[in-house]
Amino acid sequence: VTAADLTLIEDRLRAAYQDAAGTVRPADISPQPPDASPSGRRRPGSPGRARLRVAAPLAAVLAVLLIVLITVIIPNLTGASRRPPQDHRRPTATPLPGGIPRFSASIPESNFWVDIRNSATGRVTDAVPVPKRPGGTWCGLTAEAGGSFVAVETTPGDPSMVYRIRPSAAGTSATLTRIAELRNTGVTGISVSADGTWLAYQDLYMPRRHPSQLLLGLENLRTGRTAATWSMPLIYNLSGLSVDAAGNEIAVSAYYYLGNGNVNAALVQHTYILRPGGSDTQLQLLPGISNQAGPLALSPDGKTLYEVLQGTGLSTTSFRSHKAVTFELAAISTATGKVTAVLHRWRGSYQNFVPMLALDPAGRYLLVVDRTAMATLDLRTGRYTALPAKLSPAAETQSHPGWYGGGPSYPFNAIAW
Amino acid sequence: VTNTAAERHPRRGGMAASAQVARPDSADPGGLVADLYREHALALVRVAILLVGDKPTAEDVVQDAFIGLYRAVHRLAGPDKALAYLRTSVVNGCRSVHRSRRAWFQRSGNGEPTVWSAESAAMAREDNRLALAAVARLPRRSREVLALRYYLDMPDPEIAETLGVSRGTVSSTASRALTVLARDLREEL
Repeated sequence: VTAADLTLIEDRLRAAYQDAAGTVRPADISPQPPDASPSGRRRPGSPGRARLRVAAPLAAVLAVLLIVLITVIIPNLTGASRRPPQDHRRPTATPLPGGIPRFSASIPESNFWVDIRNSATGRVTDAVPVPKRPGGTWCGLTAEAGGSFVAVETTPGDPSMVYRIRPSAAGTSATLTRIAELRNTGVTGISVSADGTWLAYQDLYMPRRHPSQLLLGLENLRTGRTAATWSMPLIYNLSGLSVDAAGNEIAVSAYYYLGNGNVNAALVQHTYILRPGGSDTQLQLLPGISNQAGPLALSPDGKTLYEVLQGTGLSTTSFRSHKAVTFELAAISTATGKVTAVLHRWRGSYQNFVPMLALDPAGRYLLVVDRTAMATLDLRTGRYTALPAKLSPAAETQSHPGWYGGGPSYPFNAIAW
Repeated sequence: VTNTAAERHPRRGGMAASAQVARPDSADPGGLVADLYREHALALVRVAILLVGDKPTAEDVVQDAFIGLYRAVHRLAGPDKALAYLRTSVVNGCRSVHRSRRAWFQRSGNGEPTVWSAESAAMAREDNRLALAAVARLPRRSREVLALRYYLDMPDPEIAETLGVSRGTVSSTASRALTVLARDLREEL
C-alpha cells in the first residue's frame, strides 16, 4: 500500500461519509432540543439536593404501598365486591370461524426492523432487528403455517437471503433464522407454500456482462435446491404469486402498460399457471383468462385458482383510473381456465384498488384485503365476514396478506420494489 | 442534500472547533443546551448515522445525548466542555446500540450481525457503497476514529478525548484502518 493509495482512500472516505451523512437533512432535525424532565434539571447548589435524593424514592415507595393497600388489601379484608379482572392483553376482535387472528408482520420504512403486530388490537408486540447488508432491501414478506413469516433480503450483486421470523406465543421474543440463500440478485416478490417448504419468487437478474432477465423460480427450502425457473418478458410487473402445497404449480399474474405508465396508460394483465415438471420453461398463459385485476391465491391441491377479476368486460383499462368498475372474486379451474363460480362482487376503481388474497393452509377460508379493510370468505358456506381490525393506512399500498394454521394473519410489506 | 461549506469543513465553521461553542450564561443550562442543539444537532445526527447506520436510531442517540447534557451540565468543568461531552455521549450511545443489536443476534443464535445500512440516497454511488461496506467490516474503534477524523475533520487529540483513548492509539488505529481499507479496495484503486 503506497502513500498515494492512502491519500486516495482518505478522499474516498470523505466523499462516502459526506454522501451518507447527507441523507440526514436539516429539515429532519427537530428545531427544538429534547425536553428534559424537570426532575433531571436540578438547580445548582440547591440546599436540599442531598435530602431530595433520598426523599424522592422514599415518597415513591410509600405511594405505591398506599395504592396497593387501598386497591388490593382492604377490599380483600372487607370482602367488598369488585369487578372481575380485565385482561387488557386479550384481543378484542371477533373470533373467526377458522380461528382467532393473531399476528401480522410488517417492515417499516426504516427497513431495519420487522414489527410483529397483534392483528386484533393493532399493537406492536415485538420489533425484530433484521440484518441488512449495505445497499440491501427487504423485498418480500409472507406468512406460512404455524404462525411464522418468511422474508427475503436482497442486495445487488450478492445472493438474496431468506429468513424465517417466528414470533413466540405471546407475539414477543421472535426468533430470526436464515433458512436459505438464493443465488440470484434481485428478488422482487415471494410466495411460500402453507407448510413453508416451497418458495416461489420473482427475480430481476442483472448480471454485469449479460442482458438482464426476469425470472420466476421455485426453491425447496428444506433441501436448498432450485426446482425450476422460468423466464418472463422484462416488461412485466408482478401483481400476484402463489404456490400450491406440493410445489407442483405456481400461479402468477403480471401486468404491463401499453404506453408510458401514466394515468391514461392502458394495462394488460395476464395469468399464468406454471408446472415445474413441464418441458416448456416459457410462460404458458392460462386459457380463457386475461385482463383481470390480478390478486390471486392457489388452492393447496392446485386445482382451483381464486382470483380477483374485473367484471365489466373491458379489454384494457387504466391502472390508475377513478372510473367505477365491478370486481369479482372468482374460482377458476386451473385445468381448463374456466370460471367455475363467482364468489363475491363489489364496486371499486383501479385508483383505490389494492385487494390481496390469501388462502388458509387448509384451503377453506380466503382472506380478502381491500385497502385497509379485511374480510374472510368461507369457501364452504359462502359466508363473507368483514373483520373489525384494519390495516395501517400507511401500509395499504403494499399490503401482502397471508395465513397460518391458527387463523389469518396479514403481513404487509412496506418496502417499495 | 444540503451540505454547506461549513458542514463539509468543520474546521472552517463546523462543529469540530471547540472554541466556537456558544458560551451562554452558565446559570442557564437550558440556553446552553438550546444553543448547542441549534448549532450541532444536525452534525451529531450525521455522525451517529455513520456509526449506527439508520436515521431513527441516530436521532434517538443524539436526543439521549442532549437529555444527558441537561442533567450533567452542572458537573462539567465549563460550558466549553459541553460539546466534547455531547460527542462522547453520542459515540457511547452508538456503542450501546451495537451492543444491544449484537446481544439480540447472539440470543437468537441466527442471522448475521447488522452492518452499515445507509439510506438509499447514499447508496446511489457504487464506489461510495463499496467504501462504506469496507468500513463496516472494520472493528468498532476503527470505525469511530475514521468517522470523527474524515467526516468531522477532528484533530487526533480531540478524537482521543472523545473516545477516551491516547493520541497514539488514535493514530495507530487510523493507520491500520486505512491500510486495511486500501487492501480491501485495491481493485477499485
